[in-house]
Amino acid sequence: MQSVYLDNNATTPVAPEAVAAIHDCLEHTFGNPSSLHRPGVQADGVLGDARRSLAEQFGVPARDLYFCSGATEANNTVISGVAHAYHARGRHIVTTAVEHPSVIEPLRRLEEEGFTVTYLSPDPVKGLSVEQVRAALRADTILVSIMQVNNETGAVFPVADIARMVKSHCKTAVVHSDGVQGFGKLASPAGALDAYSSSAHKIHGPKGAGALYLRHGVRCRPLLVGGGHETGLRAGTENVPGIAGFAAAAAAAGGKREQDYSRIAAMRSQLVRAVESTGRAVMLSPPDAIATTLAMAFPPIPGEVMVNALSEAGVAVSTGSACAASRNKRSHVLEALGFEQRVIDSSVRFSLSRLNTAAEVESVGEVLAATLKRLRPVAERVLR
Amino acid sequence: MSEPSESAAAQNAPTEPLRRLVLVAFDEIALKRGQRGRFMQQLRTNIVAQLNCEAKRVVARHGRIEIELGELDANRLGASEEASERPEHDDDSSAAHSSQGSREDEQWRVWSASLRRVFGIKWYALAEAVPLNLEALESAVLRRARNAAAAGVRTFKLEHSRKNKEFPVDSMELNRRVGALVLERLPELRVDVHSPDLLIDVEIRHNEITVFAEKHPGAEGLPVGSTGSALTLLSGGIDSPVAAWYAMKRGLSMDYVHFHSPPYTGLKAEQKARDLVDALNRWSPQPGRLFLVPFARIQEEVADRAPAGYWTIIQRRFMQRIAGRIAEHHRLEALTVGDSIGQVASQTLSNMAAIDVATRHLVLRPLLGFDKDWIIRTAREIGTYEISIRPFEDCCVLFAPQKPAIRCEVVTVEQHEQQLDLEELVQAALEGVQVVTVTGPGGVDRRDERRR
Repeated sequence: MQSVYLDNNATTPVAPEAVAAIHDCLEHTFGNPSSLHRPGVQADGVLGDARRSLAEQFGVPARDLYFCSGATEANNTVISGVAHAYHARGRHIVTTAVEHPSVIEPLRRLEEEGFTVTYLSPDPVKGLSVEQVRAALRADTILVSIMQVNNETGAVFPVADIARMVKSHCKTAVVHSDGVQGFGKLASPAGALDAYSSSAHKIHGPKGAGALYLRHGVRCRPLLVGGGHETGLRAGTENVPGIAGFAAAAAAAGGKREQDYSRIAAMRSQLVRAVESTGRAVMLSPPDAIATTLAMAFPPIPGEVMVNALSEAGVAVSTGSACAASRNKRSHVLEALGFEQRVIDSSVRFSLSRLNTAAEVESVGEVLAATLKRLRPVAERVLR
Repeated sequence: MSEPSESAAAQNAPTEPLRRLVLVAFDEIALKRGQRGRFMQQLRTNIVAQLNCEAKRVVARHGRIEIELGELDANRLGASEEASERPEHDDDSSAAHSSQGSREDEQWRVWSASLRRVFGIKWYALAEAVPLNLEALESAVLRRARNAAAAGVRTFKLEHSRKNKEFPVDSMELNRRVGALVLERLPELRVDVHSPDLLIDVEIRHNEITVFAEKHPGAEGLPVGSTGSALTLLSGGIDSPVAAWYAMKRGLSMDYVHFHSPPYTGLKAEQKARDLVDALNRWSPQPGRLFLVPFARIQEEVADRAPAGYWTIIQRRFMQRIAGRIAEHHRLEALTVGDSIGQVASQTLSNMAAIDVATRHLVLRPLLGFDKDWIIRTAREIGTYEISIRPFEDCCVLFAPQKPAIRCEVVTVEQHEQQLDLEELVQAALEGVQVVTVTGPGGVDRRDERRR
């Protein structure tokens, strides 16, 4: 069979529109946007067009959009930058226990510096409630950072509602959301937030480009200083071709976002039906998860063995968690959600994109059935 | 500092064209009288292959191997990934001013990195060859001493070996005269006969004099290919690559077998085996082959039919049988494994004995005498440690029982194996073997040479 790529939460194939924009930019617009001559002005024009076009997709003013290398940088910038800019006002931060490491690790550093962080645990089925967040707010809360969509389970958190609640209780707290798995797939919540992170390569753009939305007036100490690029928030000559590719990918995704989403939802249901017809499987994604993500476990087959077997058959997926024998840690997300160890060790994540087709999903269903038929008896006998 | 006499000694001497060469000394080879010629030829061939240079540049002469430095082929320079790695004390750049000189320096750096990995070499040094007269000798020694003094050296010692007994000045007299000259010209230096910063060696030969100041330690051992051939069972752990390295050090040429079991192990475990072979091939004149054996079915069958305590030993016996067949087919004389007694609970003598009887082949265990610390230190030095510790297991946790049997009787093991169609499983695995020629940077040419 042909190979099928179902690991779109890790990264996505680059859309033809993005390839064309990058190619065109590399060939014709090599200038440095800061330069005063014609090539520089041309590059600055490409950057401006990209910023306006992306701002429209984000639903924010173009001047509040800052380009960077991707969501990891955006998350690091906003978390450490906002905390350091507002530390005189308070030193308490609210987040969840299921954030991406690019949010958790900067927060750990802040804890070492004396900040206090409250990690909220979402319910594996009901997710995170606005009330949960409200209860965690304190008078000295300066930052609330909650992801829009969880990368491992696809759980969607009501970040726009959370932001509105926070604003009514704790006016001065900055509300940020890591939107890397939601941007371009769900309606953008950025307009209701103070800060929102995104990466081009999760929506069929190139790696190495991303954007941080930061509401005008929110103070943030830059991570990278130097030539004062991006209004001083992020020094370093802009990745013009990457950004052009990002804008083209976002425009292509935004054009028919809703139709694409319902098509992806149909493919996901098709995949769930195929899995369920093969017998016991544990659903890890909550019922209202984003359509692009399906996390399941096939105990007692180790997740890594499933990934290898599917890879041999041409299907690229990923484990929720590395093999129990390897030195890699178990998934902190699935642990925080309270799943059993044996379930965590056998978790597999399928992640879809608008470039997948129903025919692909159908063939994956067949491969999956055959793989489970082969591996289940072995794993069960061995672990008897 | 510009006394006329110094200029005379340093400039009037016939230094143009300066001939520079690499002197290679061997150790054990010199001892083995009966085998000496063969070993030396093997070493010479290996040096040509590992330096990837023209054979005519490498000559066995005066109980040494000499390598002619010459114009560098830029394509071949790029072939060494350590081209930019400088030897620690590179005070050998006396002629670096001309472009010819700097090309030679570059070549010396590239070669030095490669020579360190040629087994059978005791030491090697960059030497200057000058005409057979005292003035030339004096100016060559002075050049060395001056460069070293500029680099901070404060004490020195001269050593002469006078192979040419016709040379009119005897060793004592040479030492006295040349030493005195150095002290006079470079007052910052002192003589220290016990632990000098700089030891300048002078060899008076029949047609020329060689002067060299720094002996770089070689890898020692015997030239690869001089004592036989073996097949290493490469697990992906820390030990087996080190075992292969020690076996190569004793002159064995090496091929490798790795048992992979997709889907229970992944592509990255296989890549790890390839990278280990690539790292080990840098110590060998010919790239060792990697035999990849599919092992999943055997693991499934063993897990299905034998008690969990015996899984490990029965799997190991299968590996030994299959490796034995591969060795037989390719005429490799022994198997090499990374066992060390008692390192893990199941590495007992009785288990090793039960594994060994699965094949007729001689099984080498070069690590038996080493502690884990030493093995790890060696792995770091030879460049396999960082690969071995990548977190991709060569055996899925599914087939690694919690409690393997500590002391297995062969009879009991054989009883459990009767539940399995041994021959059919071995044959099926052999039919699925892939042979990989791992060619890292610079490896392609070497493979071609082997074909010729």
